[in-house]
Amino acid sequence: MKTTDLLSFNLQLFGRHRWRTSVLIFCISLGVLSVVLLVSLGESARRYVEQEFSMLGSNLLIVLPGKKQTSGGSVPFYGTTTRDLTLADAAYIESLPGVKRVAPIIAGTAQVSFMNRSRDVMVIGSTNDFILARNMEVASGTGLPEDAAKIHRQVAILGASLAGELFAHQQPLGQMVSLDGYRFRVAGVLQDQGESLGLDLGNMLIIPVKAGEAVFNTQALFRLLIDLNDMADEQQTIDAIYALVKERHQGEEDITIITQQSVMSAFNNIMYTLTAVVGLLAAISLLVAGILIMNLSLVSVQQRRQEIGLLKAIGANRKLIVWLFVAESLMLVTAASLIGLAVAQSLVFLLAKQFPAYPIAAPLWAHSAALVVAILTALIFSFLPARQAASVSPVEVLRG
Amino acid sequence: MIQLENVNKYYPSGAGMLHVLKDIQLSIRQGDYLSIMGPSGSGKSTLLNMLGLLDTIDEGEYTLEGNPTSQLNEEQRASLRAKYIGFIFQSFQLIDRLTAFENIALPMVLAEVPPKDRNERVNELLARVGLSERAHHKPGQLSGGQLQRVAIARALVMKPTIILADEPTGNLDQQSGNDIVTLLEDLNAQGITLVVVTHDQALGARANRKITMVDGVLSQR
Repeated sequence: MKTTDLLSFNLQLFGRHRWRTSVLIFCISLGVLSVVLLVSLGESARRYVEQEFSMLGSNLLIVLPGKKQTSGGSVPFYGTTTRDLTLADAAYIESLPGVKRVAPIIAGTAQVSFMNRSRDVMVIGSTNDFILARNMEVASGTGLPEDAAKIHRQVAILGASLAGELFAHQQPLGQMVSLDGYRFRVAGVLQDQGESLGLDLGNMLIIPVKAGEAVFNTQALFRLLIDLNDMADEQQTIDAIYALVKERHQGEEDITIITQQSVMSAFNNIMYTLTAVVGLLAAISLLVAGILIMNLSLVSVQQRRQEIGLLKAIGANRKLIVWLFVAESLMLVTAASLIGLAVAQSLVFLLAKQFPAYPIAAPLWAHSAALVVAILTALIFSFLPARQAASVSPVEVLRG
Repeated sequence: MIQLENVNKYYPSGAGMLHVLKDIQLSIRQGDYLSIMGPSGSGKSTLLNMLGLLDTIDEGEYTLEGNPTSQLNEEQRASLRAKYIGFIFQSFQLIDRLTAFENIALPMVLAEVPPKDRNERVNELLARVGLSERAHHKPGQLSGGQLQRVAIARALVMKPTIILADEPTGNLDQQSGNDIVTLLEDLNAQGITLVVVTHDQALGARANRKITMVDGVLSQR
């Protein structure tokens, strides 16, 4: 049978069994839609994280106090160590070759207030290097004083939202805000940059790191952000930092250094795995659709036994009967997949329009994978009914 | 053109085997008009199925147009069937979602005959069976006699040398039955071999060769 005749023959069959055809198309297109949509969302999340990290620049090192072995668990975001990472350590590290700038960070939450308004905010004690390392911009006023790591000066840079909430229509620059009993003069306001790596930049207060030591009553740094020179050898510099800290900490290598690349790579791996898992979960719906194809095809074989017998009597061989049934499933699945892909693409387009800050897009491989899985499902699950159809004996079904 | 020699056929039945065709010897020549009669269960439909290569023989040899068939596989039998044999069934066996035209064209579609040749042949046959006006009607819109005419046209579409008809008038009223018999006899007059299985004594009597089957044994009159 020629392909055009086969298409026409099966189209007439679909027209005759509209309900069955519609149910199958709905189920398969829903499966394809789920695969593409979930994979797209997973992939978009991965790209979002990647984009956020890439904003940090490619030469960034993050030094955390504590070692994996000493704090236990994974990377010691909140690990403890007997020797703190201090501003003195930061100053020594900054003098190493290859290091462009070091931003020491003390972090905590505190209540900031102006007149009768107050907010609980994230307070970062650091230097101007922090603002540079995080690619933040001061919209008005100045940055932190140059000696922020040496002298306790009570000046603050406010996040854009925080400035708006505390000062409403007043000019914040030069005003005094209260922070846990200390009074800080507002020296600048950051540009509104939303969130970055989970940090709400708009609701943040940045003060000199020396002042941060006093506010939080600690000399222990939360971490160091280190920018390397463009020509610096990353591994050599890391080794040098470890050696330096080991020497300063009585032979204990009690810090952990992570690179932007390693963090990105770890996040990428996690996101790829998550994307694959949600994709597989969605693919289960295609499997269910496959079982539906098989069941409905088996019913179809039973209903069309006389027709199959007739086709055999007038010249159809086993191969043709198998091909007729497999082609029927393939046609249905192809049509349903195209519908599923079109709907998924439209939803992704709408989501991307609705949330422009997120890089939502349906990757080409997700389309291809969904299509291939759907077609394989059709082939596998239609084969058994097709074989059953081919074994119909015309003698038995054409009696009478 | 058709030669059966010592053909036997068995079907499993309960614990044993049922011997449904016993040492059948039959020779049918081109242009014969043969009727096969006999009581129900005598084996006449089984014989017809074997002649149409729908069923296999267990012993003996069946030669169709010079081709020994006992060793052929299903594909080869399908190919011979499509080439030489046209079937007419008591219950017409038309596909109800296809029009009369499409039902008639079906064997040519399976054989991948080009659409132009197909259309010419089907239109010619529709005219021959008097259904040109009904070409695009579906089986549900046709009478019993018209349905059997469509089935006859389908049986003729591949220009077979043999027509095998199983109770071709069994589901028809008297007038339609007579029309169908006349049509079949016209075909026979044009040289097509006609083998008819029937309970209808009158129809059977019109054949130039008459065969009776009783308990799987064939007797010729």
